[in-house]
Amino acid sequence: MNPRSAPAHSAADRRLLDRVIGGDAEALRAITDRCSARAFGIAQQILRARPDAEEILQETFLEVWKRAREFDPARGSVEGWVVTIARSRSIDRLRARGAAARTRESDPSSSMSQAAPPPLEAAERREARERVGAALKALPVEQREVLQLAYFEGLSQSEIAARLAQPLGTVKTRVRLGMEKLAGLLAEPEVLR
Amino acid sequence: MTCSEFKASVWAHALDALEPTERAELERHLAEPIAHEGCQDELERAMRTAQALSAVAPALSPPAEAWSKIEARIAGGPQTSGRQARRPAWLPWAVSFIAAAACALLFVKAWTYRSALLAQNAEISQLRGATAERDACRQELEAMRKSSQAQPAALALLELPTTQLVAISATPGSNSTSRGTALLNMEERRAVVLISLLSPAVGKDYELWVIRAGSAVPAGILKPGQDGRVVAEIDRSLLQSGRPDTFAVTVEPPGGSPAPTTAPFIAGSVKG
Repeated sequence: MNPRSAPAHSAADRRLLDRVIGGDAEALRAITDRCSARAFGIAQQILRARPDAEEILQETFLEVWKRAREFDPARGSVEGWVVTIARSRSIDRLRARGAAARTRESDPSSSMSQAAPPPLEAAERREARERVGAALKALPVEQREVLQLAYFEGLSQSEIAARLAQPLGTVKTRVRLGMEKLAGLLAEPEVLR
Repeated sequence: MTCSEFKASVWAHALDALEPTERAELERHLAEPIAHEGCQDELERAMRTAQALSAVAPALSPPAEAWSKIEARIAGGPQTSGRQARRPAWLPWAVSFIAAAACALLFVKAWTYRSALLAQNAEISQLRGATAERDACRQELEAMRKSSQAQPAALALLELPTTQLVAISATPGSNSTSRGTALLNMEERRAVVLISLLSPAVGKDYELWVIRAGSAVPAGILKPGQDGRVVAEIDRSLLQSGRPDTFAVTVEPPGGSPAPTTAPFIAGSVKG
């Protein structure tokens, strides 16, 4: 996430993480309360299976408990780190299922209740979702496609090339250009308004 | 790899879309003691951008019992779910006779592949354990088959010629008779630890640690079977930061500790 738009509670999250390092389970619970909706959302988005997403949610916060000292604020917020863990574990599980199971099914999230966080958080999430969504839409469709295949389906560049029947070099170029452009767009939110 | 090449590839790295060999090359470059041209900054920028993509996934209310399950797991309690957690999975995995037979087969395949690769790349040979070490490890897995504690992950790792075998033995002054082997494959970012002769853990737990640059990171509770053997796969995320210096085991209060409270009684140093 663009550091300039990082939520104001990032500092509080980091203090909580410091307590987690000291073995404070209540601090982990507070982080779970704060971040579980996004972690669960990304797991569900990738896995499309609620039981699997629920297990990933547990594994994610177990990993936060064990690896709290590894958090690097230079690479993003605590919430972003938690979501990255959830995404990585989800991709691992997706890969374990095999390529055949990666084909996207209907979106079951539409039948699930949306989280009801406090209004401020809800507003921040909505703003972030709209901003990133707008940035993605601003990308050429072929660049957006490779980023989505990599991020949400966990495909490597080679796998993307095979899926799209495109040369590997072309896919690599699209990934690089797409990500560079996305980074630029997210660094200038006013451009998207 | 040049800094320009690094910065071109780092975006795919942030998306976890590189092949293992490409990722290793990237990490090698970043670790090179040269005057980098903004490589670390570009890596952090790429990671933040990849993180931002998660925002397009809608937040969803987790199950009401989510915290109680997490709390049970961090306390070392049993999972209420009947499904087997894939990772970290510290309960010894039952293994069938078929898996044990596969051990021998996989070893033969690994040896064949290893021989072919040796001819192609002498550097890789440094990562391989000696034949005797692999044979001993295979025998150890065969022994574990009899106690239903071998783990398919260990067999799979043993098949890979680039897997490094790290001997785990008593630390100076511990007088422990426990011993073991860590199978480490940094290309795959996977490691499995095999320990034998652990006495039953009563009122205590054995905790495994991954130590890098003097910092010990908890890698799971070891639950030995009745014969004192345990096989445990290390969470891949613990290997993302690079090759560990040491694998170690300590005695901790039940449920483990976030940091070691006792000195390791067995440990194994990873050769660079």
